[in-house]
Amino acid sequence: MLNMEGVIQMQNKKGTIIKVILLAIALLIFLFPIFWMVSASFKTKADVFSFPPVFFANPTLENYRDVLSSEFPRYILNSVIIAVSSVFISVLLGTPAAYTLSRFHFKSKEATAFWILSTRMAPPVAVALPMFLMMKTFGLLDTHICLIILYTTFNLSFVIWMMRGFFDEIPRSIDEAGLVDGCNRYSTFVKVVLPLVGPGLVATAIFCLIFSWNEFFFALTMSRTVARTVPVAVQGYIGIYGLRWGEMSAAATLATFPILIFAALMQKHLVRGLTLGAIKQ
Amino acid sequence: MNHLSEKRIFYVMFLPAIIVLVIITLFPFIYAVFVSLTDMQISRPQLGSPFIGLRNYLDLFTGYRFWNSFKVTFVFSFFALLFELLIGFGLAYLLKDEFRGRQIVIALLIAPIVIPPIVSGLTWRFMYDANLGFINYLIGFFGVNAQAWLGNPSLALPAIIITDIWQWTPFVMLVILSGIQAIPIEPFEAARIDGASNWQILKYIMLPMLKSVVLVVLLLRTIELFRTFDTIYIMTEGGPGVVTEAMSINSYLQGFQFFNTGKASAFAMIMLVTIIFICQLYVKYGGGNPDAE
Repeated sequence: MLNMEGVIQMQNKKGTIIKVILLAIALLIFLFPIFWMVSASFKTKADVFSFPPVFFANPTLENYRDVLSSEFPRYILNSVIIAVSSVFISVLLGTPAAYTLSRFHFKSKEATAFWILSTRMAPPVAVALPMFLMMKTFGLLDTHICLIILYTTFNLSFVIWMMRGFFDEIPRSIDEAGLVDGCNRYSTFVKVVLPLVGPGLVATAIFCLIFSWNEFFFALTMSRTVARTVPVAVQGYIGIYGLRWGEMSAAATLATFPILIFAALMQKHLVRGLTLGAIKQ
Repeated sequence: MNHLSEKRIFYVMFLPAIIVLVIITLFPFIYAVFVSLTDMQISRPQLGSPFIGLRNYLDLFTGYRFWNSFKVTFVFSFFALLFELLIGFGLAYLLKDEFRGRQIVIALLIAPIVIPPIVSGLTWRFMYDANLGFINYLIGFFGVNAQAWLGNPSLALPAIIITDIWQWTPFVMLVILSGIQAIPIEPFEAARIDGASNWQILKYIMLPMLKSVVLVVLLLRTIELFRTFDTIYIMTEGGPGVVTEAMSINSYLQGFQFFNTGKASAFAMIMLVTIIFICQLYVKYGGGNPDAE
C-alpha cells in the first residue's frame, strides 16, 4: 500500500515545480518588453535596425546624448511644472473637501460624491473638445496653464475620493477630542486630523504625479511646442524622418524610470490608489 | 460650538473644490451639449455654429463608421477583459501563498501598470515591426512566417489587445491578490480538515468570497478599456482602414483631425452617457460602498 504522506509530498513537490515554471514564464513575458526598450536605447544606430536582433553588442550612450541635447530636457521640465502645479492645486483644494465629505452630513452628499467621481471617468474627448474651444477663445492653447487646468480635472476628483477614504479611517472621536479642547472644525482638521493622514496624503499626491506624468490625450490636443510634455515628445520620434527607434527608446526609458521609482515607493498603497480607494489594504 | 461658524467652515472647506470642478468640468460639459446640437466646424469659423437639432446624433446612428467603432470598442474590451481576468486570477492564485522571493516577484510583475501607455504602445509597436521586430524573430523559431502585425487587418486588433493584456493583467492580479489575502484563514482550514480538494476550496470558498473584489476590478477595467486611446493611437491610429478605430479614436479624429466639432461633441455625449451608466453600476456594486473590501 502506498504511503499517503509520501503521495501528498510528491504532489506538493510537483505542484511547486509547475508553479515556479509558470511564474518564471510570467516574469519573462511581463519584463521582456521593458528589457527590449532599455536595451534598444543602448544600441548603435546600425544595431537597432539589425535583424535578427542583437543585444548589448556595442553598447553606446549616443541615443541618450542625442535625446538630451535636443529639446527633450525642456519637455521634461514642462512635464514637471505641469504635473507639480496641478497636483499642488488638487491637494490644496481637494483635501479639505474630502474632509467635509467624510465628516459633515448634508443633502445629496452621495450624489455629489458620485458626480465628482464621474468627472474623472468621463471620456477624455468629452472634456477636451469644449476645453479646446474655450482655451482657444482665451488664447491659452499650448500654454502650461491650459494643461495645469486640464490635469486638475482628473487629479482633483482623485484627491477627493482617495482622501475621503483616508479620513473615514480616522475615528470621529479624535475630531471630537479636538473640538472639546476648544479647537473649531477647521483647526481640528489642520492640527489634529491632517497629521494623522499624512502618509495617505503623500501617497495620493504621488499617484496624481504618476497620472499627470503619463497623460497623453490632453497634451496631444492642447499643446504644440511651448507646453509639449514628455509623452507627446516621445511620440514625436515617430516622425517625418521615419521611426527613430534608438532615440525613441532612450526617450521612452527616460520617461519611464522616474515613474518606476515612484511606483516602487508606492507599493503599499498601489491597490488602493489604482482602484480609487474602493479596495483598502 | 457655534452652529453658524460650523456651517461657514463647511462652506469654506467644501466649496472651493466644488466651484473649481464646476468651472472645469460641468461648465465645459454644458457647452459641449450645446455644441453637439450645432454644425460647428473649428476649421471654418466663418460658418458660425448653425443650430441643427439632433442631426449630428442621427448622422452618427445611421453612419457605418460609428457602428464600426462601437464594434471595435466592444470586441477590444471583451477580449482584453476576458484574458486579463483569467490570467490575472491565475497569477494571483500562484502567488497567494508565502514563498521566498514572493515580494520581489510581485514587485517585478506589476511594473507594466505604471509605465506610460504611450511608452508601452511604442515598445510593442517596435516589437511587432514587420522587418526588425522581436515577435517575428520569436515566431521564426516555430517555423511561422514573418507577419506585418499592425498592417494586417485581421492581426492588428488582436495585436493591440495583447498589448493591453500585457499592461493591465498585473493590475487585475494585484487587486485579486489583495482580495485573496483579505479572506480569513479559518474557512480554508475547516475545508482542509473536512477533506476538500484544492478545486473544491477554489470553487466553493475562494471564488464566492472574491465576488466584490472581482466586480470592482471588472467595472474599473471596463471603464478604462472603453476610454483607451493612447495605445491604439500610437500603434495604429485606428488603421489599417478602420479595423482598430475604437470610439475614442473615432471621436478624436472627428474632433481634432476632420474638425467636425459638432459631430464630435455628439459622439462625446454618447460615450459620456455610456460611461455614466457603467459608473452607476460601479458605485452601486462596489466602488462607492465602503464595506466592499
